[in-house]
Amino acid sequence: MSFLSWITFLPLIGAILILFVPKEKTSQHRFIAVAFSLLSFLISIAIFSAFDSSNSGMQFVEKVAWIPSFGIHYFVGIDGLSYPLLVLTTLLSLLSIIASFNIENRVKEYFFWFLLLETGMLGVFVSLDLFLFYLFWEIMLVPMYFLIGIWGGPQKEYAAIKFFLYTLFGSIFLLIAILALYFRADPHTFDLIQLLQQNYQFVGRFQTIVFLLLFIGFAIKVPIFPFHTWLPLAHVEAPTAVSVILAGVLLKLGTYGLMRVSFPLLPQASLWFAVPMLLLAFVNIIYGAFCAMAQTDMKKMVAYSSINHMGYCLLGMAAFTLTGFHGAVLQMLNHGIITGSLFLLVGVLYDRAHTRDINVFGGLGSRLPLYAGIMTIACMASLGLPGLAGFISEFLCFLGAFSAPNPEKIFWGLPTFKLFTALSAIGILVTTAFFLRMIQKVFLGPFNTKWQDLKDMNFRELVAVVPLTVLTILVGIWPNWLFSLMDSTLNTLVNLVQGPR
Amino acid sequence: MLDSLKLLYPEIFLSGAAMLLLGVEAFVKKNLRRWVLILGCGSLFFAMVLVLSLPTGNRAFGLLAIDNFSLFFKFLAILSCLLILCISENDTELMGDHAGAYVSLLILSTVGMLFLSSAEDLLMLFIGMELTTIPLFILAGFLRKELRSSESAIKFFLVGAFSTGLMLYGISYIYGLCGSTHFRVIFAWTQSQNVSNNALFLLGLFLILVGIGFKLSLAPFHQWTPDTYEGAPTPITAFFSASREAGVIVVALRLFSQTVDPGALGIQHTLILISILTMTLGNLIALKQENLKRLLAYSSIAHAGTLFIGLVANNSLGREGVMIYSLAYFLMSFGAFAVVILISRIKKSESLSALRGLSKENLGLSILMLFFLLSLAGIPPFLGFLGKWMVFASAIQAKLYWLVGIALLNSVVAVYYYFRMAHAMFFQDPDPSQSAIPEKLESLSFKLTTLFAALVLLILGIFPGQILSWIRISGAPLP
Repeated sequence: MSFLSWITFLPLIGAILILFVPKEKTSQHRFIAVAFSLLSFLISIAIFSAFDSSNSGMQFVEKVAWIPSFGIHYFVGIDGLSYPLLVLTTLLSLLSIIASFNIENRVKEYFFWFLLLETGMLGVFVSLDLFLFYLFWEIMLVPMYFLIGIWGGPQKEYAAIKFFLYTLFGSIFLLIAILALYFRADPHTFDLIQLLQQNYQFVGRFQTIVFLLLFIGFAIKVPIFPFHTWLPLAHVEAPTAVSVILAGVLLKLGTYGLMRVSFPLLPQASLWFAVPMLLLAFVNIIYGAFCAMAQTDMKKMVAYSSINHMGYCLLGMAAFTLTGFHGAVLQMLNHGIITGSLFLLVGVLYDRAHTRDINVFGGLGSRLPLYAGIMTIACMASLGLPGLAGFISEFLCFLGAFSAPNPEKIFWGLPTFKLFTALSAIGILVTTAFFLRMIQKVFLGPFNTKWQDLKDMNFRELVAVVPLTVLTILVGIWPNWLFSLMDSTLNTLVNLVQGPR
Repeated sequence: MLDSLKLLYPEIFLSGAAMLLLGVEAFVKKNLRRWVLILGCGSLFFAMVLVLSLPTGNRAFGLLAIDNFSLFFKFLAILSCLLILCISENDTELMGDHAGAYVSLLILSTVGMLFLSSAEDLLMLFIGMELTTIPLFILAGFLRKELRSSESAIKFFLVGAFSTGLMLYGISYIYGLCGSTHFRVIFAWTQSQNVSNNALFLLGLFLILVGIGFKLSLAPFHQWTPDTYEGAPTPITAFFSASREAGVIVVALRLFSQTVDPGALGIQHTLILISILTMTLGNLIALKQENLKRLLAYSSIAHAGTLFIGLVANNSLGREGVMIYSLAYFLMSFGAFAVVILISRIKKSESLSALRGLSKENLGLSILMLFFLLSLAGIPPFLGFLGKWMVFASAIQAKLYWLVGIALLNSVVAVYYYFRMAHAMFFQDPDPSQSAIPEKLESLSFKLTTLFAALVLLILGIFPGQILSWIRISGAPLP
C-alpha cells in the first residue's frame, strides 16, 4: 500500500476498531479516534518531504486493477491541487475530533461515523478514477446524515434528511455525466488521466451537456446559488465539529471537483461557461453577504458567510488565469482554516451560554480576553484584513477576475469581467460590516452581568483552535510556500483550458 | 434422451425430495418439523452441487437451455429457497403440524423457477410459471387461522389465474402465426416477416407481456402486490419479492434477447413507459406506508421497474446488470425481511414504529438492517449500488438518457423511505409499551443467514471483480 492509501484508510481502520470496543469505554473510543486521525495527519505531513512541487503531474501514484471487466482501477495520486486540500482535511478532522471530546451521548457511534466520514473525504481528494471518485463521494453522505441527525440541534432530523437528499440529488447529475464520459471515451475508461488524453473526443454539444451536468452536481456541494438552501440548515443544526467539517472540507469538494474533473476534461465548455460562472459568483458573494448580515444567530451568520466566501473562490475560478486559480485554491484552504475556527469558536461560546444570539451578549471581551482575541483574529481574517490569510486569497481572486482575458461585453458595452468584479467588491464591504457588528455587540460595550459565570477557553478548546489561528497568521504573512506547492499544477491546468483558444 | 435427462438432474432430484417430504407428512403422525427441515435443507444443498456440476452449453429436449446464464439463476433460486427455509425454522406458528407440506411446496416452487430459468419455449415458460406460482397460492394462505392470510391467497390466486389466462391466450396467437412455440422458430419467423405491422403478432406479444407484467408486478398490473405481501406469512413474502421476481425476469430477458427485438418491433417506448410508471408509482406510494411489509412490497415494485431498465436496454451490459441486480436484490430484500420477521415476532407489530430505537436496544441488529437498507437504496459500497450502476450504465449505452434520469430521481425518492426506517432505528427512542429486543439474539439460523447475506453484499460490493468476470461469461445465453 502506498502512503496515500494509508492516509485514506487509517481512519477506516480506526472506525472498525472502535466497533470492537465496548460501549462504556468512552475514553478508549476517543483515544482511538485521535490516534488514527493523528497518524493520518502525520503521514500526510511527512510525505511533504518527498513531494516534488516542480512536477505538475500526479505523484505517489498507486494503480491496481480493481474491476477489470469495466476497466476500473483503484487509482490514487496527488498533485499540487489535491495535496494542500488533503492536508487540510487531515488537519481539520484531527482538530474536530479533539473538539468533540465533550460529546457524551453515544460516543462510540459518534467517532465511528466521524472516522468513516474522514475516509470518504480523503478518498475523494486522492482518487483518480471517476468510479472511485463517485464511490467516495457517495459514501461520505451516510456518516454525515447520522452525525447531523443524532448529535445535532433542535431541527437535526429534518436538516439531516434534507442534506442527504439534496446532495444525493446532485450526484444524479454526476453519475450520468460520468457514465456519458465513460461511453464516449474509446476505449471506455473511468481513468481521469486517460480521459484527459482523450478529451479531444468530447466535442460540441456533448461537451456542453456533460459540463452542465457536472456543474450542477458540483454546484450543489459548493453550494452555488440557487442550490444553496441546504447549507444554512445543515450547518446550523450540525454539532460544532461537524459544522467545521461541512464548511471546511465538504464545500471544497465541489470546487475541487470542478477543477479536477470539469475544467481539464471539458476545456471549451468551461471557457464558454466562464461568464455564467462569473455571474453566479457575483450572486453568491452579494447574496451570501446580505443574508449573513440579516442573521442574529452567530452560527447562521458564519454559515451564510460561507456562501459568500465560496463566491470569491468561484470568482477566481471563472477567471481562468493563473492568478485567479491561485486565489481560488488558496481561498479554499483559507476558508477551511478560518471558517473552521469560527465554527469552533461559536461552539465554544454556545457550550457555555447555550445561546448564539448576538444581541444577548455584550462586553464579553473583559471577561473572556483569550476567547475574544482569538475570535477577533478569525473574524478579521474572514473579512479580509491585510496581514491575515483571507486577504491574500480574496485579493488574488479579485485580481485574477479583473485581469481575465475574457473579452465578453454583455452589459452596456462594458467588459463583463471587470464590471462584475468591481460590483462584487461590495460583498467585502458587507462582510466587514456584519463581522464588525458581531464583534461590537458580543465583545465590546458594557458587560452584560448575566454572563458573570462564563469561563474562558479551556486547554482542549485551545488545542483545537490555536493551530488554525497560527495558520491564519502564517499564511497571511508568508503565503508563498503554498503557492510554490501548487504553482506548476495550476499552470498546467490554465494552459490546458486556455490552450485551444 | 438420457443425455437430456442428465441435464435435468437438479429438477428431478428436487421434485423427488418434495414428493418424499409430502409423503412423510401424510404417513408419519409424529411432528417431525426439525427432521423435515434438515431433510429439506440437505436436499437443496445437494441440488446446488448438482447445478454446479451441470455441463453447460447444452439443451435438454431442445426446449431447455442449460447455459451459464440459466445456471446462475438456478443457483440463485435454490440459494433463496435454502435461506428462506432457514429463517422460517423457528416459526412453529406458521408451520404448525404441516412442516412437510410447507417445505415441499417451497421446494416445488423453486423447481418451477429452475424450469423458468432455462425455458426456451413458450410452453415451457408457461409450465414453469405455473409450477412456480401454484405452490405459492397455498403458501400465501398458509396461516389458515388468519383472515389476512386467506385474503392474500385469494387475491394472489385470482390475479394469478387471470394473468395466466391472458398469457396463454397470447401464446395461442403466436403459435397460430408462427406454427411453433419455440423461441428460435419464432425468431426465424419474425426475421422473414414485417412483424412490426402484424397486428395479430403484436397482440399476442402484448398479451404475453401483460402476463409477465402481472407476475413481475409491473405497473399498471401491480395492485395485487401490497395486499398479498402484507397478508402472506412474512417468510413467504420474502420469497415472493426476492426470488420470484428473479425467476420471471430471466424469462423476459431470454424472450427479448432471443425472440423479439423491442427496437425493431417499435414497442420499446411501451417498455420504457412501463418501467418509468412502475418505478415512480412504487416509490411514491412507498413514501406513505406505515406497515413495514407493505413498504417493502412497494419498494419491491419499484425495484422491479429498475430491473426492467436492464431489459429495455437490451444489450449485454443490461443482461449482466440484471443478473447482478437480481443477486443483490435477493440478498438485501431477504435480509430486510428477515430482520422484520425477527422484530415483529418480538414486538408483535409490523408497523414502522416497531423499529423505533432499535439501535439502543441492539446496536448490532440495527447496523445489520442499515446495511440492507443502504444496499437497497443503492449507496456504495454495497452490491445493490453495483447492480444499479450497471443497469443504468447499460441504459446510457443504449442512449436512454431520459430513462436513466428518471430512474435516478426515483432512487433519490427511494432513499427517503429507506431512511425513514433508519431514522426510526437510530434517531428515535424505543416504544416502552412494546417488549424490547434482547441484546443477545438466540436464533442461530437467523444470525448465520443474515450475516451471510450482509457479508456477501459488502464483500461483493467492494471486490466485484471475480463475480463480474463470471457473469460476463454467463451473460450471453445460448445462441
